[in-house]
Parts: sequence; C-alpha cells; structure tokens
Amino acid sequence: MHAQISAATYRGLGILWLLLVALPWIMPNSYWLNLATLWLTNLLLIASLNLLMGYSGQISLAHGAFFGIGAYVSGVLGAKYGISPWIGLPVALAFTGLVAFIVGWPTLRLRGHYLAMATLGFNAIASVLFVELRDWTGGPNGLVNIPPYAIFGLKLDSDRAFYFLALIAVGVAMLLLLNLLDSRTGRALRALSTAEVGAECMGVNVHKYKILVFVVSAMLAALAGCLYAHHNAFVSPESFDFMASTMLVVMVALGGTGHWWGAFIGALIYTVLPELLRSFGDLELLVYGVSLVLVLLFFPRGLGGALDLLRERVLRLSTRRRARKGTP
Amino acid sequence: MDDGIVEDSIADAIIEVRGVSVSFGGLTAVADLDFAVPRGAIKAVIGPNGAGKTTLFNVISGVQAPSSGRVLLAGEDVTATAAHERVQRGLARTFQNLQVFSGMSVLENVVVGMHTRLKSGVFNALLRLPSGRREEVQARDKARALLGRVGLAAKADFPVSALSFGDLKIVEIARALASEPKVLLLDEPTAGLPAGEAGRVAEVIRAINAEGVTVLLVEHNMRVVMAISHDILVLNFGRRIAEGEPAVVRAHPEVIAAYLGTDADAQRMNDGAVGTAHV
Repeated sequence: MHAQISAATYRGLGILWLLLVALPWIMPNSYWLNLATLWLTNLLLIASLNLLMGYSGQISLAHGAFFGIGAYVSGVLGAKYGISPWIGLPVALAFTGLVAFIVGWPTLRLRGHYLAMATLGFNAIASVLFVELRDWTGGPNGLVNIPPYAIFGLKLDSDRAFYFLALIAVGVAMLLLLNLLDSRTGRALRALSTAEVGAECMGVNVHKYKILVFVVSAMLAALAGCLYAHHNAFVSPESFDFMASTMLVVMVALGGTGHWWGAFIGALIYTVLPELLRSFGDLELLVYGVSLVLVLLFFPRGLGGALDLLRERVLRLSTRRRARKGTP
Repeated sequence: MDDGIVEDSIADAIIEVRGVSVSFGGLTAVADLDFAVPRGAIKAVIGPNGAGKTTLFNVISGVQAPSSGRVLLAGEDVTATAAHERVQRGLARTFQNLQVFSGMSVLENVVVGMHTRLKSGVFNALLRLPSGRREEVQARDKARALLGRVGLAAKADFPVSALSFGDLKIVEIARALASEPKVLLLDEPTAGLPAGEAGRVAEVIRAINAEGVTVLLVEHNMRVVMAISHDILVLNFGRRIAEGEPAVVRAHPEVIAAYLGTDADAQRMNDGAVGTAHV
C-alpha cells in the first residue's frame, strides 16, 4: 500500500527541486510563476495531510482549519501588531501545534467516522472564530495589510523573490517529511495504520504516535498558511472552511493515499484545475466529484498508483524487447 | 508506572493470572481464572473453540482489560499497564488471525518488533542524524539474522502480501522475538501450516525456550502440544478443567470428555473423577 521510501525518492526530490530553481527563467510570466508558488503551498498542505491520512491511517477534516490558524496567527501579528513575519512564523507553528495537541488528545482515541466527525466539528468552530474574532481577523471581509517577508529590510514582495522563499521553505519541509517517514517513527506510523493492535503489541505507543503525527501534520499546514498569508497580503475565512478541508482530502485521495509522489500530482490538480474551470462556475465541483469517483473506481491507489502501474508496464515491455533482440 | 513487586507473588512465576474474569455483555469468556506460568517453561493452553484462550491472551498482553482480577508480570501488577509498555517489560505475542503490517516488507515487519529496543526519536529522524542511521543498519542486520533463524531469510525482502498464511505466522514469531522478550505468547503458531512445517515450528519454539525465553502458547495441534510443553492448562467455557504435565492432562477424564466425549461419556467420566487435577 505504501510506496517504499528509498534513495531514489531522495534523488527524485533533489532533481525536481533543481528543475524548480530554473523555473523563473523558463517561465518568466508572473502568472505562471504565481501559480507555481501556489502549487508549492498546496503541495505542503496535501503532503502533510497525506502523512496523516496515507501513512498513518487517520482521517482529518480539519486540515483547512490548521492552514487557517497558521495564516491568521502570523497574519494578525504582522498586520495588527507590526510583528515581523519571521517571528510570526514560529509563533504560528507553535500555536497551531498546541491547538492540534488539544484537539487530538481526546479525538484520536476515536476511529473512522467518529474521528471524521470530531475534526469536522473542530473545523466548523475554527471557521466561526475566524469570522467572529473581528477585532483581530477583520471578520468576513478578511484581514488586510499583511506585510511581506523581508531580509535585511529588503522586502520579498516580488513574485520571483517570494517564489524562491517558498521553494526553500517547502523544500526543507518536504525533506523533513521524507526523513520522518524513513525512520523508526515513520515505521511505527505505517505499522499502526495497517494493524493497530499489532503495533501496540509490538511496543508502539499508538495513542502517542497518533497525536505526534496529528501535531506535525497540523504544523506543516500552518507553515503553508504563513507562506500563503504573507504572499497574498490578504486572507479571508472562506479559504479555510469545511470546503477547503474536504478538497484537501479529495486531493490526497486523487494523488494516492500513502503515495509519496501522489501529493505532487494532487497539488498540481488542486492548483491548475480551478484555473481551467474558472469560466464554468459551479461546474468545478461536479468535475471534482466525477473525477474522484472515476479515479478511485479504476485506480484505487490514486493517480500516483496509476503511474506506478504504467511504469511497470513500460519496464516489462522494454525487457521483453531486449530479450527478443538477444535471441538470434 | 512501576508498581513494584507484589508481596505474595510466586517467586518463580513470570506470569500470574489472579481471579481474572472477562465478560462481554452476558457472555462470560473467562471466569475467575487463576494460573501461573513458571519462568523458563513452555506452557500450553488448550481447550475447545470458544474456551476463552484468545481472550486470556488478550488480557495478559493488555489488549483486553479484565472485568475483574489481576495480571502479574515478573511479580509486578501490570493490570493497568498499557500493552505497549508490557512489551517494554519483556512480553511479546503473536496473533491467531495475524496482525502483520501490510504494505511493508517481511524485514520491515520484524524491525517494527524492535521498536522498544531502538532509541532514535522524532528529532533524530527529522534531521537524519548519523546515530539514527547506524541504529537502522544494525536493526536491519539483526532482523535478517532473526529471519534466518526461523528459516525465512530468502523471503526477507518480499512484501508480506506475497507470503502464505503459514509463513506469516512464522514472521510474527520472528517479529515478537525481535523485541527481546522474557516471555513469548504464541496464539496457534502452527495453524495453517502443512504437517512438516508444524514440526519445524515446534523445533523453533524449543530453541527459543532453550535460550531462556518462557513460552505460553495456545495450540490445537495436540502432537505439538504434547511434544514440547512442560505444563498444560485446559480451559472449557472460560474455566480451568485441568492443569499439569502432558501425561496427567492426557489421561484426565474431563479433558477427554471436553474434547471427545458425548454427553453419556462425559457423565461416565464425571462419575469416575470429580474436580481438577492441579499439579
């Protein structure tokens, strides 16, 4: 079920990031560059949810809320109190981690539908707070005047500068994620996702690990939130509502739960499809729904799993051809 | 956490079950059961289906809390201790219907068994520190050696989905051994194995025991039970009907009745011998 993490996975990530460094010169158009930046943020969101859903077998319908808490905490600190986003970042991460811990402690003892409902409820509460804490969040109109990141007084508000910031931040986060999965901790998570009783009886403190992964996953979402808020300079509650959380779950499933590269594909769809479907309005939802059903019907392991199948088939074909050439 | 040694605990018992009852609604799976597993022994629990054997294993390993009664591990009360912590204290088990980690290789499954014996934590993992990597390499080597011991070295890198039910039962034994247990609970280790394989598993169990690991097993294969056990506990409807050496248990009338008897036979046996032979 889980694609193996290997040296090749690390190599793949390295090569991809090298290509991404060159992107601003290949795609000088700022529309595409901003889309690439958005893709990076979405990648972080979907990969962190995949850590929780795919590798650890837990469902969360509150990932949008954690994304939002990260965005609002750092955003409010910057816009209302003039605090540097560099300080806002660790504060937002720590705060979101604390909230995730408080939410996770009781709810992660629940399983399946109950966990889904509990996190869904939490997302509803967070959405209400984003609107009602008006003095801080700006209410339904959103929070404006969020300052950009700056280095030595130099504002990183150009598209290219911010792209590189996001590239570094998301690159480091993805590397940490990969390290985590390929370790004793990651193995314990994968174990409890497939056989919880078995893991517990092998000495894995199942509840502790579930809370750990819930907190780590929420903090990565908060990092995405910080990047998003200080890039956009504006955030509003509907970006973090139940719909956003649902969409993220859908993208994890489309890409392939527990598939490392699946998150990259999920993020690509999540970023590009709304742009393509913008002129169709509500049709967007229909396309999402239908494509999810079709993909899961034909490729239960998502598009990432489908690519694996394709690669295996190509490899088999090429070895057969080589074998034929070998015999006179 | 540490409850200390219970004062009146049996000195040479690694596991003590005291007055344990387990009820599911109206159904009593285990009824006021007392027994001990002597350190260093191979002890078998036998009994017809539904006798409460697996429930008993779940209580000892901490998966199921007893309705009443206590469980002692090496003289310490562990009734309220979480299952994962009992592993830390030297208890390991396998499962009747398997709890393998699908999506992992055979080797990785065994390495999970070392969880409590490995040290590297989250920060070590995130930063991929050399100490953690060294530990990983050592753990894998050790897991490979363990698989060699149970005869599965050739399948170490297979995904578990490629193995037969019988092989997976053996993987679970290797995985449990990886936690360096003092006492090993085996739930039907030879179920699903062809006859020749059952003998091989019996040999493996004997070898494990010879290295000082106490073994408690639930088993239906009487040939295996009689050949390797020092001591047998017979359960029926959650109660002990006999306990003792293989020869004693084999001859015990209630055991014969529970396993083979018709009602008339049972009646005849009961007329002959009443009570349990407790050795």
